[in-house]
Amino acid sequence: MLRIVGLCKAYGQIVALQDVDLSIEAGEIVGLIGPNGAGKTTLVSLVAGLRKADAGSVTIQGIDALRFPEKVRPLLGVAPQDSSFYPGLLVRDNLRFFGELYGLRGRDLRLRVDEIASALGLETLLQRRARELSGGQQRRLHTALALLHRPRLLFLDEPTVGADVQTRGQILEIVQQLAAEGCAVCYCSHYFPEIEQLHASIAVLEAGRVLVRSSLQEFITAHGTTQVRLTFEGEAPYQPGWICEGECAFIPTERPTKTITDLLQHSAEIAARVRTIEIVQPDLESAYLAVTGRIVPGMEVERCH
Amino acid sequence: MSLARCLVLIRYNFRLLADDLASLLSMLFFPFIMMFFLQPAGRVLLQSSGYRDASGAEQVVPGMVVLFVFLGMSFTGSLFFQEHSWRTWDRLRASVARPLEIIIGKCTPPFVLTLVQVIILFGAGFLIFGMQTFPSLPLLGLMMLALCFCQTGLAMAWIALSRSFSQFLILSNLLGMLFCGLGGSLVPPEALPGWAAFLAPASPAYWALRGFRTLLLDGGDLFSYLQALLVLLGIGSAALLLAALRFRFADVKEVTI
Repeated sequence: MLRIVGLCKAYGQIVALQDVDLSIEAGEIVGLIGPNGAGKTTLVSLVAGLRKADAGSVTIQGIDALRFPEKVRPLLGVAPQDSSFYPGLLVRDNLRFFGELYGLRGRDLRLRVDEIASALGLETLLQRRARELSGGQQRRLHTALALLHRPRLLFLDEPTVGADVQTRGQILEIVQQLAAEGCAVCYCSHYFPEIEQLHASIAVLEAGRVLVRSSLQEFITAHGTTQVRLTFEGEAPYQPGWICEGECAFIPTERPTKTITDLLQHSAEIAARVRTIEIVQPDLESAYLAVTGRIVPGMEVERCH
Repeated sequence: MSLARCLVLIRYNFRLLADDLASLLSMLFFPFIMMFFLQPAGRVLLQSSGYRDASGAEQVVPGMVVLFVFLGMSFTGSLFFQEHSWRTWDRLRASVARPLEIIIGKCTPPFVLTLVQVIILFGAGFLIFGMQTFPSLPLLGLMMLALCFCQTGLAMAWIALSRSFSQFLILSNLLGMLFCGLGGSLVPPEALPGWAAFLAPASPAYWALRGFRTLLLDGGDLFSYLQALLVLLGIGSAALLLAALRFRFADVKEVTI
C-alpha cells in the first residue's frame, strides 16, 4: 500500500528526515514510535503532500505521491496531532462538509455520517456545535473527519492525546476494525500500551532515521530486557547502567533479583530513598529503551505513579 | 478542477461567514449611519463645486460604499486566517480539494456579500437619501462588479504578503483608509489639498469614485467611465497577480483573532 524509499527532508540546517525507508501493507497497523522531534509529523506531512521532500520517493498503491499528490489524496486519511475541526459548525455539519468534499452525496452521505458518528460515540452530539464538546469528544470528531471517505491509508498522529478512557477505547476499536477491512494504518503514539493492544508492527523513528522496523513480538524478543524499576523520594540518583527520568530509575538486567539484592546490601544510602521496586518482564518499553537509550516522554509518568 | 467541490467549499465558507452575522450586518448599518450624518456636508460641498441640484447623496453614498468595501477586506482575510487558528488549513490541503478550489471557495462568498452590500447601499441612496440622477443600470452594475473584483484582488494580495492576521488588518485597514481618503470617499476630490490630489490617481478608490461620479453627476461621459473601469480592473488584476506569485499554501500563518 505504502512504500517510502530514501525520504529526506531538512528545514534549513535541521535535518528532520534522513534516508527513511518504510513500507505498510494493506490491513497492517504500524506503530510509529519516537520522541518529540524524531520526525513523525514531518513524515506524515510529506506523505500527505503538505511539504515537499528534498529527496526520496513515496508511492501509494503504486502511484507516485510526491509527483501526483492529487491522485493519492482520495486514498489517504490524515488526522494530525492537533485537533482540527470547525468550532462554529455543528458536529453533523463538520462531518457533512468533509463527506461532501470527498464526493459523498444524499443518502450515502447521511448513512456514512451516521455510521462514523455511531462508531466513535458521536451520535448524540451531532446537533451540538463543535466548540461545545468536551476535549475527548472533540478528539473523536477530529478522528472521525479522517475516516468518512473510507481511506485505504490512514495516518493518525497521537490520536488519543488528552482523551478519556472511553474515547481511547473507541479510537483503538475503530482502528482495528479499519485494519480488518484492509486499511493500512500508521499509528503515531507515545503510549506503548496502545501499540501493544493494537498488535501493531513497530517502526522506531529517532533523529530522522528509522532505527528498527519489525513485528511487535520480534522487536520485544530481540531488544526487550527484564527491568528493575525503582521510584525514589526526590530525584533518582544517577548510577552506571541506570536510566533515570525524574523520580524513576530503570535498570536493564538479566538477573533482577540479584540486582535488587546488591542495591539493598551495598548501597544503603540509595536504598533508603527507594519508594517502590518493580520487576518488569520484557515489553515494548524496555525494548525501546534498549534501542534508543531513552524513555519516551509521558510513559515514565504513568509508570511511576 | 471540480465544480462540485468548489460549490461545497463556497457553501461552507458562506456558513463560516454567517457565524459572525453581527459583523456582517455592521457593514450595512455603519455606512447608513455615516450617510445620514455626512449628507448635509456632502450637499454643501457638491453645490459649492457647481452641482447645484445635488442632494449630497451623490458624494456620500459612493464615498461610504467604497470606504466600507475596502474595510470589508477583513472578511476575506478572516476566512483564510481562521483556518490556521482552527488548524484546519492543513487538513483542507491534505484533502481532495485542489488549491485553486480552496481559493475560489474562500473568495467567492466575500465577493458576493460585498456585491450585495454595494447594491443595497446604492439602492438606499436612491430610495432613502434622494440621489437625483438615475444612471444606466448596466454601467452602474459593471462598476460595482469592478469594485468588488478590485477589493478581492487586494485582499488576496494582502493575505499573501501577511504572516499574521494582525499584519493583514494593518495592511487592509490602514491602506484602505488611505486609499479612500485620497480617492475622495470622505470629501470630494476638489476639496482635497494639492498633494493629495496629486497622489489620488494611485488609489483604486479614486477610480471607483470617479466611475460612480461620472454616472451620477457628470452625465455619464463614456470615455471617463471606461477609463475608470479599466484602471480599477487593472489594479485588481495586478493585485491578483501579486497574490498568485507570492501566496504559499505551505506557509504557516500566525493568528490572534
